[in-house]
Parts: sequence; structure tokens; C-alpha cells
Amino acid sequence: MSKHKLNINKIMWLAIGVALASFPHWQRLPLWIPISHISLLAARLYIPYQFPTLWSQRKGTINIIRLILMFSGVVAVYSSYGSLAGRDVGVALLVLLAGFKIFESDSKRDFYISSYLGYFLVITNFFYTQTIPTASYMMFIIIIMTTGLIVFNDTERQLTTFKRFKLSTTLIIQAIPLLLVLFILFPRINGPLWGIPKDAFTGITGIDDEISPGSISNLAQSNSVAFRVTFEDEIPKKSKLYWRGPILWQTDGLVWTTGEDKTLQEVSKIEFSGKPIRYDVTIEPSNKKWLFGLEMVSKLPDKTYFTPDFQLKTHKPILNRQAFSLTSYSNYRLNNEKSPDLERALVLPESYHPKTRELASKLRDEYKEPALIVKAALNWLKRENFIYTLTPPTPTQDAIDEFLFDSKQGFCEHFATAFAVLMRAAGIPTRIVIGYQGGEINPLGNYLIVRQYDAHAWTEVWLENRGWVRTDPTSIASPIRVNEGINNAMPDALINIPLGLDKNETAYRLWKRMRNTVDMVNYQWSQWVLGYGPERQKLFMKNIGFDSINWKELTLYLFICLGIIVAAITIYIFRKTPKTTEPAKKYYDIFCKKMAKAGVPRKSYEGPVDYAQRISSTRQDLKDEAQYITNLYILIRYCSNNNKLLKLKAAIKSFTPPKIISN
Amino acid sequence: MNMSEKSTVETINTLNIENAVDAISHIILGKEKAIRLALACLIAKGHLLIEDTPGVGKTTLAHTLAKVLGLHYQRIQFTSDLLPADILGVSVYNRDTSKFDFHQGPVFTNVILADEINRATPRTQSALLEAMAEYQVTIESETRDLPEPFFVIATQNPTNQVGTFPLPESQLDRFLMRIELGYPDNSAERELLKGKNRKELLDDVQAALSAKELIQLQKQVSNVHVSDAILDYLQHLLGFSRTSGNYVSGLSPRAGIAILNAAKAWALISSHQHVLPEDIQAVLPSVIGHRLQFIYEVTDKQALQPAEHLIQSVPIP
Amino acid sequence: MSTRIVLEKLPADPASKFSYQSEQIKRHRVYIFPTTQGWLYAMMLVVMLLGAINYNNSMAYMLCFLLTSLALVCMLHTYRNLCGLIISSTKPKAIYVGQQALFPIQLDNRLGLEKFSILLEQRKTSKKLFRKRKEVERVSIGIESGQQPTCHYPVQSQKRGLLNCGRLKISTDFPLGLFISWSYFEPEQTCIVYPAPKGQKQLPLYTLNEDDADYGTQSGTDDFSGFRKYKPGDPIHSIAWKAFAREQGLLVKQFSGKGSRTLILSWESVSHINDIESRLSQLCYWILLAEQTSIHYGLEIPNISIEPGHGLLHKEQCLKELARYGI
Repeated sequence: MSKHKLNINKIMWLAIGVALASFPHWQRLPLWIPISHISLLAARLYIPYQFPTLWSQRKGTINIIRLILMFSGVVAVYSSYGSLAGRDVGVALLVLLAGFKIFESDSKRDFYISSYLGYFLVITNFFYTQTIPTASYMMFIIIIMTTGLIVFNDTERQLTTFKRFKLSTTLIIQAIPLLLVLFILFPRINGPLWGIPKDAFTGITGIDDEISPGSISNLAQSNSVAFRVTFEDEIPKKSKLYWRGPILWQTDGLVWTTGEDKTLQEVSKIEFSGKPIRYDVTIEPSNKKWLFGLEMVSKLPDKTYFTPDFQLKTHKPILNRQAFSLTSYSNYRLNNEKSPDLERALVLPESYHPKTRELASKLRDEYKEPALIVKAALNWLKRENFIYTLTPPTPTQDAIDEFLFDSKQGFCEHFATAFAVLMRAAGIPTRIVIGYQGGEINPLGNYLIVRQYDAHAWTEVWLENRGWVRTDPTSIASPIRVNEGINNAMPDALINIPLGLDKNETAYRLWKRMRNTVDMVNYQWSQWVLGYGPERQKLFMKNIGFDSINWKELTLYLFICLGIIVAAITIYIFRKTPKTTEPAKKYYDIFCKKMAKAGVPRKSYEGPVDYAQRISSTRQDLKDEAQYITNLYILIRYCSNNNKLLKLKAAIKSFTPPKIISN
Repeated sequence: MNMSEKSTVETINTLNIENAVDAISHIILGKEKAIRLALACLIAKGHLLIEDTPGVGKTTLAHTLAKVLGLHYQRIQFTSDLLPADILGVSVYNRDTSKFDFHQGPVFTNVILADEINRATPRTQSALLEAMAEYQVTIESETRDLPEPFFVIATQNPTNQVGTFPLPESQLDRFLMRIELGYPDNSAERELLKGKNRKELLDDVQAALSAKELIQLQKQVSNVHVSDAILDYLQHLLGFSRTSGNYVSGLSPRAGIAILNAAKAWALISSHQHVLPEDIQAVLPSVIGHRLQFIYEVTDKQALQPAEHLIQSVPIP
Repeated sequence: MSTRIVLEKLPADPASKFSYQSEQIKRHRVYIFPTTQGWLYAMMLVVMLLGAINYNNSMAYMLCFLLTSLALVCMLHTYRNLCGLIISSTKPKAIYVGQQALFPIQLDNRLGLEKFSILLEQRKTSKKLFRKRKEVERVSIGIESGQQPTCHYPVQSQKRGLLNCGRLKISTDFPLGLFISWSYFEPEQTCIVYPAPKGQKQLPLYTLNEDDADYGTQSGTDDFSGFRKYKPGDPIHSIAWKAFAREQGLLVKQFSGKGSRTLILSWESVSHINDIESRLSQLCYWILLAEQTSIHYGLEIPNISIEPGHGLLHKEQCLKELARYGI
């Protein structure tokens, strides 16, 4: 087995591949893990070649030391993370293990196991990020590691380093059609098969089911995408785009919650009118059990349900990008009958917000009629010149009172909570809805992107005969927020515009266009690649004409397609013939083939002159042509006179010997 | 710039070659290929071995060749009692000068006709063969150069004839070509029977080439173009002879050079300035006939000569 | 000519590719199967797929499928790396007992692209044999497109006679080592194993024929020079009676020396040795010695008689008879 001795070249490729694959993890790991990983790789590359005797004698004590080191590594990981299970711990152990395995690699088996560990390292990266750059980087690593395998198997050193790399790339490229078929047709099932470690979804931002002053303005700092929407018809006006999320009923004076501990008795009743709006929502993983639909959703997609207060919910947390087809009506009437739940929509904590209560009673006394009270309150808000800002002064005692009467500066959650308190104090049932408002239209893809900074809070008041009516106090104080989106309502500093770009109109437009392009690509990527699950698969199959396909059929088609592509690659690979370095020879072979068909095949050892003579004697009619071609061929091939090549090509192309049927 | 000049020189020479061929063909009837091969051999600066049964005109051919080339020639009839000194020369004590005077042997000439070389003892053979290889002779520890050009045209009877000392393989290698004449065909034979005595005709033969022209021709051989394709072909031939296992031993690199030189000369005689695969095939039987031998098992089964077998086994690349 | 074996692929126009149209061309099947590393790789893929399903991670799916496709493509490449190879074997050079026979195997790659890391090894015919030979000889070779290299497969010779190479396995696991494709073929040619040259270093006394006895005093001072036709008057004792017996007419032996040395190596000359193999070894040694010292020698062993002669072919013939003796 000496031919498989791992020389430095083989180990080098392996080590580089593994190091590159673990590289993105380094920032996520305790510093000592990447350091020991790299030192192990470096030691493997250095010691055996500098101290070969030491290396070959390592069987005894050094082996024991290695085992001790490995064990202490595991212990150290345990002490760092406090556990040996979970995503991060798994990665830490894998990085460490890959280092040790490469360090001890000495045989063919070791080499392959190390390579496979490298492939595993690649896959773990995808549990953190699945962006296009990551995918491209990982593709590069796969090519490197495959090159490593080729280096290992090229025992006769027939290929240069570049050619090995090229071969590896060729293999990957040839694998891509198969990959696509497998990706599209492999029957998908919904995970998880077993538990997913809890730490798998940390760091996801999004709307919660409670608000406190400042919780939404925090979201406004984030421009990550919450969901994307493709409308079947026109995109409705921005001011109509209220994406309904959790509904908050209960407050302790500061924090609003859904109050799920008290079940609602209200029976959902809804009437729709007007034109339906059909659209697809692709939601980013949120680890939450709700969806966002345009107010008001009329039809439930699969695996979702409505709460009595018309929140669209899913049974399982959304852990991966998913798409839902929804239909909404912008004209609706919601629960216009009295119900016991209305009582809950009036509850306010005792002895809070004295100033607000005062204003409420004033309004109630003045207008009596609930509808008028609402209108008056909104008018009051408008009159008082409230400022819409992300950075209101921090409240000292009573947040609502201070907002309404002192600072008059706030973000949507301030408006919504204050308005809700005011209404409830005035005896009108009110609840808060949180969700998103608006979104950015991407003209390139003609779809809507809703980002975290589009998060919004508004209220619903219950009026007799009209039911729950959406009332957005923010839209009164800062109409621009609702009509044109947050980008315009806020000073530019809010959105991450590169410095100076806002001063130049064209540059700004260009930048925006670029951002839109990037987003479109990302959108398609997430729509069709990352979000490709059982639902997308069904949708895709439906689009290409396979309605309601089951997994058996899918598997059948998968194998048929795989078979076809494998056959195609086989034909491609096997039809490749050795490149003839001499084009003249290639053309002459064609000539010989034509002559063979005409009945005078050339013997393999027959020289061109002899052959031409034989043709001349057996086929008088072809004498001149054969002579001409032979002369040209001789000139090119044996006199190295290459400028006649085109003539030869033309002569052979036009050469069509008639077949003579011998008696 | 001197393209036209070059080509005129070339035409003159090839014309002379044609003259030479004609002159020889006049005497040796119906053996044009053998004559051309013999000429090619000499132009490629190689020694020639003519092998055939007695009476087919070996000696006549050798004579005619020497005469047509217009060179000074000596004939040595090899016999079993011929001694090396008979070929190389001998020092004789001169009483007048009290010194040893060197008497040049017949080897000091342009062309030697070594008749029936395999009748001499190996010792005598090797004396001549050494001269062929080195173009000089060492007599009594004194080295003497031979004149230029220097050729040996040797004739020998087939080795299976009785009373012969077959030349060892290593010595056969000194000959660039070994040609066979074979019996003349019907018409040639008839003409031969009707015509004059060959020996008389031989006296009338005029030199068709001068020594100067011959040297010029020899120089031109090295100008014949050899393309990579030809070298590939030659290498395949050599490779096959070494690896196929059909031959006792493969062709040596020296044999490869010999084939190439002979093919170049053949191309020149056929009046083209580049070597074709046909040129190689034309000279191959003569050049390697005495160098390549089937192993014992193959000898019985193969109807072909080793060289022909080699040609037919290797496709032209 | 031996049979040529084409692995899997027959050229569209065999006549144009092969020199002999009459030559036998046989097609041999090429097999392919995953290697140990290949199975390990498959296990890795299954684990990856489970991970991808569990986490519903599209890129994990993607990677898993990419590696699956890579293996499939690799399988095709491994298969192609063997297909189209033309194998022919030629006569190995004869050897003496105890030497390694080198079976020349020509791997002709004029049909295909460059072939990488082709491995030749003796097929294990039985497990018992395998156990006996711990080290199976392996010959690894790479072949450029259009080349026809010959590699020599070594086989250790154990006894005199004809040595078979047995079935050879030609295989490759290039490029990734996940699959191995292989085929079998059996070199038809056998290697002749001469007896080992052993024994006395001295040649036996020349056994001269009765009428050769007084050559030494005959004419000339040199060696045997040959034969010539009998002319009346030639001494009767110089007539080659043997030649006369072969109906070659009356020939006269001509000598120019102290008399030619013709040696007949016969069974009698080794009669003092009991063991047949040792006798053959002794004869073998003498033949080599005689050849070296330019002595004309002949061989006479039971059922076989070879006329005195000299030269490579003669030596070969004599040694071959020794090798074949009793077999």
C-alpha cells in the first residue's frame, strides 16, 4: 500500500479544504478551538516531513498523548458550552475532531474519513447562513476537497496541479444537472424528524406578541426582510397595506399583551365586499406561530387557522422560509354584534394615566357618540403637532401621559398605546394590532418586500353596527408614514444609506436600483431555493402541469429524469475522443472514411502516396481528386506547410465519392 | 531568396541520380528497386551488404555501382585464408633505408568491393569491419585515416550455405543496408540471355556522378525535411519492435538513426524534399532485415519477413 | 498473434484501427462497484440527508444532492477510465527457475482519452492461494491517449516448465476512489522456465566424432572454415559423412586450424548425477558456457537430439528442450 502513503501534497489539499470549511465558524467558536484546529493541521503538514523518524515512531507514547489531548478537548468544549448537545457544541466538536483526524491521518482510510469530515464541516455552515455568498464559498471548498481526492488517486502523477483542479471543477459542473433534478424532484417532507436544538434559531428579529414603549422602534433599526409578497394583480396602494399580526387586549399600564390566558368568547363573524386581492406571502423564519396577512384575509391556507380576533396562525412555529397563498378583501365588517369580549377591551389598570383619563372624560362629555369621540380624539392628535420620531425622550413616570401631554414625540407604538388608553378611558372598546405597514415595491421583480423596519402598531375600536374599525393614530400624526412608507417619514439617517449618496440624486437612484437588484436576486434565491419545501414543490409541479402529485410519482419522475441525464452525460463523456493535435490528420481521416464507404478502405499501415495510387488504379473516376487531396495532405503533414490547411479542409468537405456497386 | 538556386542544384543532382540508375539498370536488368536502394545507401554514407545466392549478379552490381559513382575502387575477394594484413597493408623492412615501409593495403581507397565477405575468417572480417566503423585503420599501433568518401560494398552468400562464417549480429549492424537481388523476372532474364556478356558491358560504363557531386548529395541528405509525424511513425516502429515480444531483440537506437538516414536518402532519390511514410517503408526491409529476427516460436508461423511484419503491424499515425 | 481484448467498447470501424483484420478481437465486460470508501461516502450522504430533512435546510439538501450527483458522475468517469483499453499479451522472455517472469502486457489506448492510474494485479483464484501469497504483485500505470505502453507483470517462478500468469484483474478507481471498475483477462502466452543453471563449472571433454579425431593435424593453422564440394583426390577422412547421410551430397570439411570444437551434451555426460532436475541444471549451465565460449554444441537427451550449432536461436532451442523435458 505504499502508493497510498500520504505525501505532503495530498495532505496539503485536504488541510486547506478543511481549514477553509471551518473558517466561517471561527468567529462563532471560543478562540481556543480554531487555534488548536489550525495548529493540528500545521503540525500534520510540518512534523512528518521535518522529523520523519519521530513521526514513524509515534505509535506508543505520542498516541497516548493524542488520546489525552482529544479527551481534554471534549471536556473543554463541555465546560465552554455546559452541554454536549446542540448546534454550536456540535460544530465545536466537529472542528476539533477534523483537526485531530487530519493530524493522525496516515492511511487511505484516514484520508477519506478526514475528507468526509470536511464535507460535514461544509454542511454545518448552512445551519447558520444560507446566503448566496456562503453557497458560492462552500461550492469553492467542495471543489478544493474534491481536488484533494483526485490528488490522492492520481498515483502516477499524470496531471498537473492545475489540471487536477480543472478535473475537479469539471466533475462538479457535470454533477450540476443531476443536482438540479434531485433538488426539484426529490420528494420533500416537512421536518423536523427529531428535535431541533434550541439554539438553532437564536438571533432572529421580528415582531413579538407584546409591545412596550421602544419595542417597535428597536425593530425599525433592522432592515432585514420579514416577508415578501407577490400580488396576482396590481399592488394595492401603500396606505392600504396593513399586515395584520398579533392582537393585544391587555395592558398593565406599560406593556401590552395578547392576554391569551383569558380565552375569547367572541365568535368570528366577518363580511367582505369589493374585489378580492390574491397574493403569495413568503415569510422568513421567525420561530413564531403566526403569519401576516393583508387586512382582511378571507380564506385560510392549509395548516393555518384564525383566532377569534382574526389573527392568522400556524400550528407549528415558522422555522424555515415558507410560502402561503392568501386572498384578502380591503372592505370588510368585523364582528358588529355585541359580545362579552368587549368588556375586556375596556379594561385599564387602576390609577394610571390620570391626565389621559381626564382628557377622555372631557371628550366623552363633549361628544357622547362613540364615533364622534374617536374622530375628536384623532383631530386632537392632529392639532397638537405630534412628532413622529424613533428617539423620543425616555419617560420618567407615566409613559402615556408624558407622551400625550409633555414630549409629544413618539413612534407608532407610542401613538397606538396612548390612543388605545385614551379610547378605553372614554369607554370605547379598543384593542391594539401589531404587524407591518406598507413595504417596498421592487420594480425589478414586481413584488413587495416587507422589512423589519416596516413594523407598525395600530388600534381597532369597536363601534356599534360597524364592528371593529381600524384606527391608525400614527396616520393622523404623520400621514406620510402610512402613505409613503417609513423611508420617507423618517430622516434618512434611519436607513443605512452610504454616506454622501443622498446628496447626489443620480448616485442615490443608482444605489437604490442596485439594492433592488440585489434584493430581487436574494428574493428569487429565497423563494425558489431556500424556500423550496413540500409546498413549493407542489406549486412547482402544478405550474408545470402535474396536479396533485404524490411522492411515489415524484420518485418515479425523479428516477426517469436522473436516468436521462446520466445517459446524456455518459454519451457526452464517451463520445469525447482524443484530441488530434494535427488537424490535417483529422481531415485526412475523414477522407479515408469517405473512401472506405466508396469501397476502397485504407489499410492502417498504408502511406498516403501508396493509397492514392491504389485509389487511382481501382477508381479511375476519383484519381484527380484523390491525388489533389493527397498532395495537400503530404504538404501539410510531412512538409510542415500549414497554410494549405483550409484548402485541404474545403477539398475534403466537397469530396463525395460515388459508390460503385461491384458485380 | 535562394529558393530557385537551391532547386536548380537539386534538379541537376537528381537528374544525375537518374542517369546513374539508368546506367546501372543497363547492366543489372530488372532490378531497379535494388539499384535505387543501393544508391540511397551510399548517399546516406552507409555501407552496403548484398546478399544472395551465387550467380544473381551481386558482384556485377557492386562493380557497376563503383564505376558509375566515378570513384576509385578496389576489389578484395574474401577467402578462408585471407589475412587481415592482406586488407589493411603491411610494413616491410626496407634494407636501403633501414626502416619499415608501410605498404598500403587495398582498404585505402574510396570503394571496396568485399566479395563473399562471409568466406573469410572472423578475424579478417573484423579487420575490415573496424575500418568501416571508424573510417580509419590502426596498423602496428599507428592510426591511419581512410580517404573520403569511403564505402564498403560487401557481398555475401546466404548464411545457411555451407562453408561460410556468418557475420555476427554486432558486425552486421555496421552495414546500413542489406539488399537481396533475387532472380530476374522473365523478360529481364530473356534480355540477359540474348544480350552481351555483362563483363564486357561493364567496361563501357561511364561515371554518371563525380566524387564532388556525390559529397554534395550526401550533404543534401541532411537537409531533407522530417516532420514530427514521421518521427512519431518511426518511434512507433521502434517501440513495436521492442515491446511486441515477437523479435529476439528490439531495434537499437542506432537502427532508428539508420532507418531515418536511409529514408532521407530515399526521399532525395525519389526527388522530394521531405520524408514520407512510404520512404520509411521502402527502406525498412533493407535496413532492418539483418537487424531484426523473429523469436523461435514465431519463425515457423509467420509467412512474412520480420520487416514486413513490422510494417504491417504498426499503423501510420 | 494473440487475441486482443477490448474493454467494453468496440471501435466503430475495427479494420481502420487495427493492423490485422484477421486478428481476433474480443470484447470483455467491465464491472463497476463502490469501494469501501464509496460505501462510507454513501453513509455520509444518508446522514447529511437526514440532517437536511430534520432542519429543513435547503442548502443542506443542496450539498447532499451535489455530493450524490458527484458520486454518480465519478462513477461514469471511473468506468470510462477503463473502457476502450485494448489489452494484448506477448510472449514473456524465458527465465531460469527462481527468477521472476515478466509477462509483457500491452495496454493500447488508441481508442480513448488518457487513462489514469490503472492497476494490474493477479486475481485471487481461491482464498487459500491468497493466504499463501500475502503480497499480490500490483503494477500501476498511466497511459496517455494514443500510447501503447507495455507493462510487465512479475510472477515468481517455482519450477521448470511452462509458467502461466493466471487471470489478471485490471482495475481503476480514478478519479475519486469511490468506485472501482475492473475487468479480467488471462494472458494466453506462457513463460518458459529453463532449469536453473547449476553444477560443475567445467565443460565435459569434447566428444569428437570418430573421424574428427585427427583433424588437429590437418591443414591450416586456424579454425574450422566450412565445407566445400568433394573433388576427386580429397582425403577420404575429411569427407563429412554425416552430411552425406543427410543426402546433402559429398562434402569435404575444411579446417584452417587446430580443429573445430564440437561438443555434444548428452544424457550420458551427466549420468553421474542422480536427480533429473540437477542433470538438467547441469546441462543448462554447460549450454550457457558453451555459447559464451563460442563452441559448437549439440544436445542429446532422451527423445530429443539437436544438431551442433551456435547462436542465440540455437541456444534458445536447446534450453527450451531442457525446460520441456518430461513435461
